[in-house]
Amino acid sequence: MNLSTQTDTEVFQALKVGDISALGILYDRYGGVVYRLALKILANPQSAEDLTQEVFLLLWQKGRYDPTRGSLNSFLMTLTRSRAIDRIRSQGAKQRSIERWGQNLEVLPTVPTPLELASTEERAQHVQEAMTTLPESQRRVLEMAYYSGMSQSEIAQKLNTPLGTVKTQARQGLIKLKRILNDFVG
Amino acid sequence: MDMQPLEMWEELVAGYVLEDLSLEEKKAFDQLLQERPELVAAEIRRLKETLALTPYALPDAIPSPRLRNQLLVAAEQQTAQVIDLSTVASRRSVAWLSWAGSAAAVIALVLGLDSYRLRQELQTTQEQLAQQQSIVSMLQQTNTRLVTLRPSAPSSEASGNLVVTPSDKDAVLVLKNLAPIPKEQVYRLWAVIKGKKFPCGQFTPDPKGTVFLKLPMEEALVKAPLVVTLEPSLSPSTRAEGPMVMTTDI
Repeated sequence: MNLSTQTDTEVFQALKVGDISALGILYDRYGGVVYRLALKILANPQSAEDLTQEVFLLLWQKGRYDPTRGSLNSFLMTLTRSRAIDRIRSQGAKQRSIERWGQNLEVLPTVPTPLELASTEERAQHVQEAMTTLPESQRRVLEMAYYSGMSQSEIAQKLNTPLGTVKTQARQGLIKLKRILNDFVG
Repeated sequence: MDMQPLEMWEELVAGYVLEDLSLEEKKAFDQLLQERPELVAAEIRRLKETLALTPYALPDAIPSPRLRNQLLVAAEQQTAQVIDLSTVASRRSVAWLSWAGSAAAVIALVLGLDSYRLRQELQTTQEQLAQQQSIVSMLQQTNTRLVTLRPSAPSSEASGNLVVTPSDKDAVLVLKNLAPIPKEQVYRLWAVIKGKKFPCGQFTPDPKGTVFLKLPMEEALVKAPLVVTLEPSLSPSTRAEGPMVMTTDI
């Protein structure tokens, strides 16, 4: 059986029993976007590479990903974002539970989605097109919340915009994005 | 459900995922969750998956190509088993004798020892040896190649090979008579490509100076000259600044 043509879940099962080639395959699939996210938040290529390695080593060591709770992409993005934001927070800054975005409620089991069947380039093109359909205000608020870890109160203050407006923009932006990408995430 | 409640429902769940619900909204969300737990959970999953796709829209950026190998080496090192030959096995059955004999012969070939003497040194449990069987079976394949490493200093008696089977995902480094080192130091193996050293793994010999280390198979391990250096264990694993201890003939 050629592991590289298997679904993420199947490759992950191989990884859990110590098959290091499975780690290489998952890195080939997600290393690029993990690095992209780490670089966006950390703004330093070396730090982004360090974090990318750390994220995949955590996957290798702990194997905590549960395929019944969401896609591997979602798990890796949540882990990367959480670790990256933790790093940029200054000492003594208040600790908020960033990982909640990825951990809140139990979710339904998933089956392989069109997302898994698409290459990184295809995903990038699809998501970039979806993002351009959002009004600028919605996209900006969503990006600020996701990449900076700022609360919406902090975003409202920074943009000098009422909190209610910021909340509506973020929620509407996310809902619209979900509708556009609905077929893609399954 | 008419349009207005549907929009409110979606907004509540989006607010939950974005963690911006007011106290009043939180109560409404909890009520919704009690009434329609499966629907709410499914919507939460869709929104989380959507958020996790947004990094694909970031400007294209790729990590250094060497990061992949670095990652695999680091992962392999966490699980690598250093086999202490002095603790390998007393035999308890005919079948066991036969297997241990063939394994010892291959190991002896690699280490340049005679198999009889090596067998005399085998003292450990059958269970431990079973764990090592994967390495030995690789050593027994006919298309296995040996890349010889020799000491850099004339006074050193270190010797050994990198054992490479092209069809296998792992290579095995087998060294003997390597000088013992304190905890603050490690040996590191590098592939030298166009004058630059690329990290392939790090190791510490056992008290007898023996090393048995599995490494992820890389083309460079066969084609590029290899060197072993002695480095501070806390130094970055990508930095080769210590003295050269062994090299290949290439």
